[in-house]
Amino acid sequence: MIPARWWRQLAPPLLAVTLLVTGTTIPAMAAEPASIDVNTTAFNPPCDGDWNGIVPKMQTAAKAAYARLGHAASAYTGAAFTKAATLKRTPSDWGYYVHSHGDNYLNSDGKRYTGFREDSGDCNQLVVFSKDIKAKRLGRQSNLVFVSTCHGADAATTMPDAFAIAKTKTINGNQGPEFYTGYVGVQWDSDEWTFEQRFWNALAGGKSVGAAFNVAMLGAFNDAGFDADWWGTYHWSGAAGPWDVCDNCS
Amino acid sequence: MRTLTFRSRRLSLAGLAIAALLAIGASGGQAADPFVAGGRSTRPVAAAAGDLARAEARGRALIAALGIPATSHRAARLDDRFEHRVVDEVTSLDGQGREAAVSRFELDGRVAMVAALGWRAGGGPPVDAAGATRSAAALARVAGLVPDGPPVARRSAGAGGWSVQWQRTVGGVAVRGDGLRIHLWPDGTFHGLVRTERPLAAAPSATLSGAQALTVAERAVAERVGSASDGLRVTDAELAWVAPNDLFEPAAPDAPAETLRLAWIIRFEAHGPLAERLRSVEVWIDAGDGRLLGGDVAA
Repeated sequence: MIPARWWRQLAPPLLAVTLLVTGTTIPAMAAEPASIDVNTTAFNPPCDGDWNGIVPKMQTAAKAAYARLGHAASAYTGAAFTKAATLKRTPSDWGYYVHSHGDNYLNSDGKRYTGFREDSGDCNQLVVFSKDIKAKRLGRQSNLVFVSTCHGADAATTMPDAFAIAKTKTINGNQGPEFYTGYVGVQWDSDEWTFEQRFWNALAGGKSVGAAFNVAMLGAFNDAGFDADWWGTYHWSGAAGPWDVCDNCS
Repeated sequence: MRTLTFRSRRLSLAGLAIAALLAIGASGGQAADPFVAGGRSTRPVAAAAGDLARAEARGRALIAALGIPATSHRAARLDDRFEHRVVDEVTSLDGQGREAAVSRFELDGRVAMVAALGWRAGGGPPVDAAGATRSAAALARVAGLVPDGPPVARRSAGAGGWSVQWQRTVGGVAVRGDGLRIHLWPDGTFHGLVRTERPLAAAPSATLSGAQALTVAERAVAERVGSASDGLRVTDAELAWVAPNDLFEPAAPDAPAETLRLAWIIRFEAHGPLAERLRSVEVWIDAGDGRLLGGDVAA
């Protein structure tokens, strides 16, 4: 009797200590992953005989930006950026950036979905459909998703849904720590690079994701028709991970 | 001893020379201090308190004139290494301490950018292109700017409604990326403004013809793209001022060049299997000497 009562009394403090310890150590040990997939092969040898100097910079900038936001950021290109690898990683990704050839592709199910081409290190590049990503993520929450492809943020894009990001612009409230951005229609690499650098720089300066988008849109674009769009929580800071303090944090 | 003294003097002189060279190199390096991908493109630089106070006053007046509610303002001087310019940035805060607007001014006081932060779900009745153009022209005047040339109004998701642009031209030739662009909400009210006027190199004394430029571009593409060039067809050739970039020169600086050059822009569109991976390629040929200045890719 005495030992049982003694253990019962000890259980709550032990549980509290355990929760405190795990609660403070787990986030520090396992930062939320973010994948940066960049198709360099399509724009470089052997598919295109010359080197595109802009695309590797986008990769470097995106990886650094996701790391600044607190993600465990990893970049993949060439044979490391395949459809299979992307779909294998995506369930655990909180952040995602892709730069590739994108379109509204026809799927074998007869429907069209927003998608992008893998790199795979060769010139036969499979399409990663939003449908494929959705089937792997199964509604799992995302943080910042940047689809740096043509048509990635068209009004009819199906990609935000794959990352469980509602296509709504939440301005004063919040729809969670999530933000999706990408380009409308066909855009040029030089303008995408200008937009992205401005966006990453504004985020690094403490702007919210929405404010960073506003500032990024005011670049000196070569194409006067440059356009991008966004959905998510305007005032969110972009910091990795779930919202764990309050529902109105920025 | 004499020899030693002479040597020591020579060494001292050599040391001074090396120190001077190092100093020159250091200052030159600092002056260039190029933007590197992965890093920040703006960084704060020191400014006199009076300069910042004047910038803050400019920001306060401009934000008020544009009808953006703000209760406090703070100014900082920034070196923008991506855009190769130093600006005074004024951040305006609303009554709740949230950032309501960001405005940037050239050091001579001219406005370079204003972004009204936040997003509008509603507003007044939507305006058409003509209405957007009228609103944008009026807002430009409010900002102390005199638009030059014919405006073009486009619907823009990222602008929140409309993007109205006055493209900068020199001698009838477009300066890509330069000019005045105003972003409007669907009802024609103000959302953002950017004015860009970068330095131009001297125009070449003799300009290549379009046919000459096309020959140079086709040769460059054939040399660089190899067999893939079979899938590329020329669709357009135009003269424009462009900021040279590192599309074909990865070792070149990561930001577009500070000074724009007159170039022939030769556009190729992809066909066949190549079109599965990219849509268009532009090759920028210096209109004076036929050098490759850079280019662009639409994927």
